[in-house]
Amino acid sequence: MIGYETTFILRADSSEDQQKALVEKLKSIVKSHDGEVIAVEEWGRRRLAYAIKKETRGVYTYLAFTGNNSLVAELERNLRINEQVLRFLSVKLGDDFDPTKFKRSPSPNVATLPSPVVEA
Amino acid sequence: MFERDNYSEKKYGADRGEDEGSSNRRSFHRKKVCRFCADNKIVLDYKDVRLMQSFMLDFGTILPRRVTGTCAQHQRKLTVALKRARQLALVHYSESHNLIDSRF
Repeated sequence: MIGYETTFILRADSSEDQQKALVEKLKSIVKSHDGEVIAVEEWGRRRLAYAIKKETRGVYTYLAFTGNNSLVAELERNLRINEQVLRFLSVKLGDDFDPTKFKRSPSPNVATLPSPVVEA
Repeated sequence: MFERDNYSEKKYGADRGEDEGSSNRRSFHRKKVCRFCADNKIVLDYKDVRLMQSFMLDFGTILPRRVTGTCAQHQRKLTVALKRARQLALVHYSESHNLIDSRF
């Protein structure tokens, strides 16, 4: 199985339910394609480095999984349909990816990300 | 800043009329080492915002190898990582993007 990671940004005004629903939907797509979800990380609401569709803040979610290329295509198709999604990025982690060797990258922790946005 | 120090050193040598002024200047040059080769604990990851920012100027320009001393292999990987970080709005593309941002 090939390892992938997908990060997507939702509009800052999207509700927690919308985010959860999307994550669940993506998870079920991964399972239906015989893939395996390795990690789901919520980076939370943070300031974007530049405005996307006039939005200056976004909700980041990170998803690591194994699967094949048709799975990635299906996930991205769903992300494109959803109007709450500002942007997404899929990156291949490697061929013959071993999920047990997945290391939580040191980056998504709060210290290395741009300053989190305090809820108004 | 570093440039200025070099310059004053050169001038000093010239005033004294010494030929080794230029060689003195060269001795100020510190050999740069690729950070990723020197410390294999550093993970080159586009999600590491602090790390990405340390290889670019505040207004978004990617620093060249001759400035950071990164080796060719790592610079190639680094530029890919930086561009991924830009796509996810973790770092800037350019300063003009900030200006658009601040209007709202």
